[in-house]
Amino acid sequence: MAKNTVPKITPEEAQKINKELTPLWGSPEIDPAVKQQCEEWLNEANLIREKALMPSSQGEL
Amino acid sequence: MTQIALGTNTTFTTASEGEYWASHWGLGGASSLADLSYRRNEISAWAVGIGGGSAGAWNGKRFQVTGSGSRFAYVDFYGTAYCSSVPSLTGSTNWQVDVIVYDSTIDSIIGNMNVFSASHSISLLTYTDGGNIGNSVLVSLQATHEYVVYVKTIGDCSQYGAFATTMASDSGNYVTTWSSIRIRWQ
Repeated sequence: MAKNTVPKITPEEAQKINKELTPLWGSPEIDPAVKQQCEEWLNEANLIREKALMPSSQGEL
Repeated sequence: MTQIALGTNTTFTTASEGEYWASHWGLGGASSLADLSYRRNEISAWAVGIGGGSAGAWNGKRFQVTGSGSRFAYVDFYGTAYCSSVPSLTGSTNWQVDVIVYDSTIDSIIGNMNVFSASHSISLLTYTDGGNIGNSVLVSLQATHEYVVYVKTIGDCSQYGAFATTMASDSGNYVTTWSSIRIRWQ
């Protein structure tokens, strides 16, 4: 497994970060191009995930 | 390997195998674990800024059916699964739990039921999803064939703005745990 780029963020930490950032950013507009790129990365990862999580037909290893 | 006789009801309470996977991109992270000792899947993904993560895990029991012929059986799954998600104003989260019957002899999934499926996006709220797994899958099991009955948890998050997003199903009660899997012949 590759080393994570960002240390783990729990839901509590995410809420805290977002609370601090909201006054700075308000209700930001989403850049459609950035969103599309993110969705492509996500789709690629999830395709690999689907294959990686199939059981082995070779039995218990 | 565990063997069960065709027609004899059997309950499994131990896991024999599992798998886990995680990946991330941009300013993101992900983690996963299939903990066989506790029959537990632990997954999480998070991101801040532009990035995301994807994770998944499954664990269950492999067995072989002895005897002759084939017969329908319900595979009853018991347990719990919970997830806590924060999508933020510029992100999204997904989380899903499935109970699955895989025929290893023919390398094919013969039964699959989605138990939970939760997607959240563009919100400042924290969401809690999940509950009892309690579901049955009706399949035809054939003598001499080898099967894996298992619970699979997958989830991911994507952040395409300036906020923090997380999907957490990896600690405390916020995990997927099956307590027993029963083969109930018809």
